[in-house]
Amino acid sequence: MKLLLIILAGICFSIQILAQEDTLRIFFVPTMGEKVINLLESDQALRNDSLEIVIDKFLFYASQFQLLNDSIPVFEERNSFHLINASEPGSLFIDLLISQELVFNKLQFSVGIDSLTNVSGAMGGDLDPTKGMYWTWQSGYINFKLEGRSLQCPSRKNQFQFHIGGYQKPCYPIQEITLPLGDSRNKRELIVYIDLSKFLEQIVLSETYEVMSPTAEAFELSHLLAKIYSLNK
Amino acid sequence: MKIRTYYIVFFALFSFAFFSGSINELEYPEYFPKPVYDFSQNPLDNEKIKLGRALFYDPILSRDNTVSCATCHSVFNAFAHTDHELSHGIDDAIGTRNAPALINLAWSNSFMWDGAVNHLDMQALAPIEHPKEMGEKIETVIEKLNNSTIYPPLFFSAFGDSTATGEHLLKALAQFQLGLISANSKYDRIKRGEETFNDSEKRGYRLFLQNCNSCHTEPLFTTGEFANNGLPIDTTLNDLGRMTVTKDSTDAFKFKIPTLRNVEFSYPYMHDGRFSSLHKVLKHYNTGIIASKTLAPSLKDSIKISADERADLVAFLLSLSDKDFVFNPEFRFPRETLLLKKQ
Repeated sequence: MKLLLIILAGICFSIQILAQEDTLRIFFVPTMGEKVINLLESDQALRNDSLEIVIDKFLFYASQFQLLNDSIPVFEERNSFHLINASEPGSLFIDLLISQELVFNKLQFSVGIDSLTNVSGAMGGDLDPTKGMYWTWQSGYINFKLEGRSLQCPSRKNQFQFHIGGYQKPCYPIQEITLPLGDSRNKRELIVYIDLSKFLEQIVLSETYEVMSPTAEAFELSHLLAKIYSLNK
Repeated sequence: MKIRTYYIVFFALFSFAFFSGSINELEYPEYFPKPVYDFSQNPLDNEKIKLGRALFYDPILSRDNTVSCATCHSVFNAFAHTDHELSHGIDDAIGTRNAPALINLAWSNSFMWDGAVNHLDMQALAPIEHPKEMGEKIETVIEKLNNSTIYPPLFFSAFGDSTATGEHLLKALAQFQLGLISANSKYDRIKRGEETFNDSEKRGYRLFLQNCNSCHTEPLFTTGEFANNGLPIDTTLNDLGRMTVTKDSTDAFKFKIPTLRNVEFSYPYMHDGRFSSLHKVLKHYNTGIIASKTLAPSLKDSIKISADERADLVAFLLSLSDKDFVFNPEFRFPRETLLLKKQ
């Protein structure tokens, strides 16, 4: 009888906790400057006149989600690995289950997969190697994949391909993104904009258009990623 | 309607509990070190091993369904390949490296001659997608497996889910390979006090300890590290070895040190299969070493042994042959799983 009461009390407590939880939905919106990229359109492309760029494919891993109050973590998502794919609308948002009373003023996450996960064998879900974000000829996840075309590229079909990833020092390219937000109260939706023009404008596409290995060059490009993410324009 | 749903759920759970395999412990001699493979992430299970064995032998993994893992890794050659110096793959393509033997892989944390792969689970991706090996996309393999009549029940028995995924495919293949343990050679029986070396083997063992054991360290007969063993550069390949992965010039011409277990069966030797016999290998260490900046320190002075001593060393190396391993029926083509069900 006593055990039954304890179990019932536990269930009630759990229900109460669940009732106090709320969903924080984070949307990811890829853009080229002010233009939102929609790869589902019939031509699956977007043109930016100044750069003459067409985007064909854009995916990245967002991991290790945290909410901070000033610099103190107040929420951390477990098993936090999300593949954000501009061609799959269902992947362009994630939900965090947080307490209704949670006070936070910063969103933090990483672009990429940490080194421990990279050496931990086969994984499922968004980390399944069938997702096209795992190198097969050399172990390691691709953190950030951007493919498209530009007349500036002297390659076949004027293609550029940036596959930035890897896990070994000194070229460990994972990037931590911290985005400050105002008052968190009543905020249940956040929009993270990813301005790819800020990445591509830093690259001389006539010279650098194929980076697809975990090299020093990829590591250098990974530093550009920290500047392309912003919150709620 | 609700009661029917409960029955279905109950039946599914009961079926999974009934059909799922028993958990195994990896069996290995007490004089082996602890395996480096993390079994907590992929506990051994008979049904997973069965699935992995079927996948290992099934050419469904290749683009035109002609090449399986076993094409280059034959059980009778200690899971190496003896017909070619360099691996022979899809469309009769010849690769750039010799197919290595698959032995005692639970003790290895890097794979391929250059260590490009960091985990046994992930190793199979490399040959599946290599254009000169299986030439297939992993996504297409999964599609083919899900459309087959054989695999959905095997995946269900192994993982409680009949839908194949990349994770489950790779974990099952790893399970079969983890079981490829060779630990019953004459050397092992001597370690256990069941046999003794003959005079020639005894002299060979002494020479081995003096000259070879620093890289081919017993009882696994490899340190699992990378070394430049002074081979003249094959200019038709210009293979930089480990440096290809690390981009570090101090790794130039270093290759994974292979185990010497079952060397009798796993010829030809070296990363490019250049030596067809153990005597040629020993001649290289005797008189053929080329000095270079990255040459293994232990080979700075070539190994000075006579022809008689080479014969003794070979006699010892043959004591590492494990016939229970190469003739193990549980490692062979799974006729009952792959053939009988296709009929």
